[in-house]
Amino acid sequence: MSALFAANSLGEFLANNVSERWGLALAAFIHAFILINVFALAPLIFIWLERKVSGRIQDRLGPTRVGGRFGWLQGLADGGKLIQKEDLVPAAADSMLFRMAPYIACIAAFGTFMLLPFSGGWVAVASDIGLFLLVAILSLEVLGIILAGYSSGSKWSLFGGMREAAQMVSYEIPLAITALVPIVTVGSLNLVEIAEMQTSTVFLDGWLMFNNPFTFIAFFVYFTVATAGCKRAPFDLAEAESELVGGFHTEYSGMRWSFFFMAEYAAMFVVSGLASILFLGGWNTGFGFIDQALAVTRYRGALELAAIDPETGLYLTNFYLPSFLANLFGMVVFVSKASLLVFVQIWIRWTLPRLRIDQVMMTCLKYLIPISCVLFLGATLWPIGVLHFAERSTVMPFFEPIQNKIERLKGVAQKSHDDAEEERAEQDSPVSDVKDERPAVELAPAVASAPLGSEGSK
Amino acid sequence: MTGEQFLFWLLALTTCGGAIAVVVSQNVVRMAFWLVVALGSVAAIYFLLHADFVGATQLMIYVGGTIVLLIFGVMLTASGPYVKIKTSPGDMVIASGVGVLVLFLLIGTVTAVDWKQAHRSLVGNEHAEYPPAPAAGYNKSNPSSGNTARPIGLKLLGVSLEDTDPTRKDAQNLSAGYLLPFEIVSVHLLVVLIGAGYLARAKRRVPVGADAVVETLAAPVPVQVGVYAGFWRRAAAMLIDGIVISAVQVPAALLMGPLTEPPSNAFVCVSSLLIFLYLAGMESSAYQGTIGKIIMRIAVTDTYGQPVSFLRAAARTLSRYLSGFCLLFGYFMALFTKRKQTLHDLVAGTLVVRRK
Repeated sequence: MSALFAANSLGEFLANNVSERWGLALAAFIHAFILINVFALAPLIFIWLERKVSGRIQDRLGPTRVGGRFGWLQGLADGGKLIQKEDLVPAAADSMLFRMAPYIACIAAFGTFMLLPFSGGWVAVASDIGLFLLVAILSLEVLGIILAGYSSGSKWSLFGGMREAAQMVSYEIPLAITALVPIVTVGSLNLVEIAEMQTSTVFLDGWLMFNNPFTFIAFFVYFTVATAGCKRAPFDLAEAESELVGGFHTEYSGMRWSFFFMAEYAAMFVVSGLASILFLGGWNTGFGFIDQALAVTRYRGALELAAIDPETGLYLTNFYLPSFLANLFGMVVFVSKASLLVFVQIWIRWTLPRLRIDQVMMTCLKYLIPISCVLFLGATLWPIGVLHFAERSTVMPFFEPIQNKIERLKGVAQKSHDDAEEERAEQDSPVSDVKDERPAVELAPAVASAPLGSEGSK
Repeated sequence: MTGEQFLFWLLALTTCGGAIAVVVSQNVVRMAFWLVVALGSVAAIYFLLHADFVGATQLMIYVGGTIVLLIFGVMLTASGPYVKIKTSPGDMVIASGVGVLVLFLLIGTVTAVDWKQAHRSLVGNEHAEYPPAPAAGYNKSNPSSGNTARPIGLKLLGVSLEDTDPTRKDAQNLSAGYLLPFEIVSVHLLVVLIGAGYLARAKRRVPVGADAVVETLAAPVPVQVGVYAGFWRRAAAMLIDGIVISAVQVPAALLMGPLTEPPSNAFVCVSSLLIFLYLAGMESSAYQGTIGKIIMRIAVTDTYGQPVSFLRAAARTLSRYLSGFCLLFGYFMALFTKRKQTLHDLVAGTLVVRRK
């Protein structure tokens, strides 16, 4: 039961202990269940936050009554209201596509949650190409918007859909290029690895945002582009209510309408989470002494999970509580960072006026794409130039090569793991000296070289 | 039936169902939607086969591409709402004939393969059981199966991991990977990009009567405004320039050392700088052209027929690299552009015209 808490071994745990055939299906179901709750709860909170923040910015109070003092149940009340509304399909609409469109937007936004790691190893699909896959799935959301705009049978909707199409197709390019800028520095598309590499040595020095001037600027460009990609103000031309009534969702009502907004708020969280993984250290706090201790604990937990019983050859899947707590703390840090960025998006929305459509397109095609290309080129050349003059790949103080740092931390974890093994062995059989030859020690190098999250070889 | 088999059948059914719906439905946007369903299911089958990278690429290129097709191919060309495509009976007969033939081809191909033999040679065991035993759930022996991005990326850079035998140190051990195809595709895409940029660029209009105005201005070299130099004349000028440059460069290189040895970095730098100064300087000088251009009676002007500044000539010279990089496509653009401009002419905003 204990190993249930460690997500990266859940499937394996169930396959070993419950059933070879149903274990994976059960694990997939549990992952999906947890994620769909995160996916549904995040918009609930952010909608309340949006109303509260917009109220404060406009010198109002915002919701105050539902659920007590701060109106924190406002999101739930909104949801209850929307469920009760009539589900309308206009006579002029293509009813099959009209009904389908909100689900497409919603599924695409939910799909990205599968690839978003919440803490070291706490990810549903730990893919080697996580970032590529995430961007690919995120770009499918636009299909739902376009279909909604087209199938509504309304001019306002069609205009909104077309604007969204033009905007998304253009903004995807700088989004992908700026997301690649930190990738050039770390050399991995695996989101878990990217965040693990940002463990600081002293203070904030591990964060990729502070790695070189290009990643620093790339963060701001990425955030601008991501805001536009979520069709948030000042780039919300697809639903510009002063021009297009409601844009692509003019004809929608009730639950189908709210699906679009669930998708939008979920996408806001995903791009903000991605920003915090790519630039802001993921689940690392930025304080060297905390980060390194937590990283060692997490590696130790991975070793404990991968420990093999020398007699049966099966995984022990020991549960290591400190590692679980470290991961939980990491998740709190990660969600806080992502929520802070979502707050900034809300803040921007209620501060800046909406741009015109030609200004939106000009900002992207004439400024953001060339800027992101220059940043990409600069990030490629920077380490080469610095290496040429300083014999190191960054000008940051307290520099320690990423590989050395991770190896060092993994070494500390390995040592503490081995010590614990020996202690356990002594307790098991205090008199026997045969156990000293146990192959666990021989297995150790193979396990240590395996990346975090994989289980080593049998 | 294992979980994997169940998922495979489910995805295969949605793929085929989507494909049939594309053919059956008459509304263009619905067709595009069903196409997305079919292509997305194919991507899901790739994920089922642990081919993450191919699956993600399928999603990004085919599904994303269908979206763009939907926008530009359908919405922008439609004359009314909900365009319907009605197939005439004749078309139907032809299409179903072609479809049946393709189906026979596919069935013939599938049945022609000896799957038992293919499977046995794949696993390297002559007595392996067939059909192969389904993989039971979690693949313990290879937990990172499906993580193909790194080997693929390294292969694109010309590093091949699995072919590399650490016990051998000879050159044959190193494989070129996919470096050459990757480079060819890159150049191809660059050419496409430049071509698209050229077609879509804002056309700069020469004001009416500009030719007349230009002729009244005193130009150092009298040029024939509007008479653009042809491709072969310019090629001949380049050839002469090449001879002139090598007439200086080769003896200089001989002074530095034998030609069989690679030249020193300093020599390459200095000679590149001198060639750059020769080209840019001559084109911005009163001669308005290099020696080759003078001999071939052509001159470089800006789009108004005026002599070019050094900065513009420098931009033109540097842009020559761009023309050269895309398999000389930039030079061949002089064959079909309106004012016989090459790519570097377009970048620098220059023209090459005949002298009087």
